[in-house]
Amino acid sequence: MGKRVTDPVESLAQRVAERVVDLVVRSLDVNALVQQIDLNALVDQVDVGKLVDRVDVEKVVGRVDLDRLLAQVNMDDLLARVDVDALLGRVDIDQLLARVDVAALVDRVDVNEVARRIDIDALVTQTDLGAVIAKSSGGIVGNALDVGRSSAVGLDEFIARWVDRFRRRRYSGPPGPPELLQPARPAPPVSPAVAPGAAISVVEP
Amino acid sequence: MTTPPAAELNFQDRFAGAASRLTAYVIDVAVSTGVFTLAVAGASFVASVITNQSVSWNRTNIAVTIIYLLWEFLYFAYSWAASGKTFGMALLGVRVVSADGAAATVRQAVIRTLAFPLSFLLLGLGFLGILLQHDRRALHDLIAGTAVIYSWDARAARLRFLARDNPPIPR
Repeated sequence: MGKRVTDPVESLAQRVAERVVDLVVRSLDVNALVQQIDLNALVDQVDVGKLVDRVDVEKVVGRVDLDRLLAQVNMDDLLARVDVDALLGRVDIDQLLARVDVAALVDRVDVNEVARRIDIDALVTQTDLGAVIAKSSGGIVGNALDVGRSSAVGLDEFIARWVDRFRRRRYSGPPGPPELLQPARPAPPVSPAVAPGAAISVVEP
Repeated sequence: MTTPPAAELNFQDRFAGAASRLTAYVIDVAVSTGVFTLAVAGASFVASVITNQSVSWNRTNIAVTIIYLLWEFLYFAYSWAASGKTFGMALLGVRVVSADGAAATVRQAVIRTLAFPLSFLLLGLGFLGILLQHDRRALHDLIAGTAVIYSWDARAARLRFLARDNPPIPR
């Protein structure tokens, strides 16, 4: 019998309480209430370090879609806002260079490849190097020797080419002794207008 | 005119061909014989002054012929042993080396000089190797274990030509 009396009372009390709370909340001006709170004092009471310690940063970062995030970034706009001069002004070039291992850097450079890219003809004809070579090399006698030798080598090649033609063999230039044999180093082609007797002028059969 | 592929190669340290070798040999024979002839003429003059008699030595004299052969031997053997090249070879930019490319030894130089006349036998068939052999070696080269290579750097000569023909623009 007791339970039959208390249950409706409890239910009534619950409804009354909900109604009262609802009325109280409605009557409250939350903004005015917040304005009365000293947020600084409140924040001072919060132990931020402890709070952060409780945050699993890796988990948070793991949930961030960086690609999507970056896709939303306008890089041009971002870079336009960067003062490159100011940025470079803050870089200590000397310190940066001091950290560079020049020897290791040079070791990684294929000097032969770099040398192959040099236009020797242009170097000789357009710089003072040509004058140095012209001064250091012999005069008329040296010139005559070069012409005589290149003519003889040209004749050698002409004969060798014809001999191999008669023997039905393909001629590919003279071989060399094994100890001296090196990979063939192609020289830039001779311009007949510049040096008609230079290098090895081979007569076309 | 395009440059033939062979002309774009530097032939330094490669086996020398027949024309260069023949030209060098002709120069050597001319120089050595000329020097010998002058020496004999000088000796004849000195002898005629000393003896007050007319002395005329020439190569019909057996003694002079023997001395001439000895001189030729010395001329070639010493040149090949000392530097690998005679005067004519130096002019043509070729030199004698061992078959493997090392410097020719004194022994090889002497054997090469002694075997050289053999290449003239049988109408000069010993020289055919220069034309037909892969390594361009004549009979005397095969006997002495030597070869003849180009010692002349064609690329350096080419740069000299370029430098001479294109003087730098004054600034």
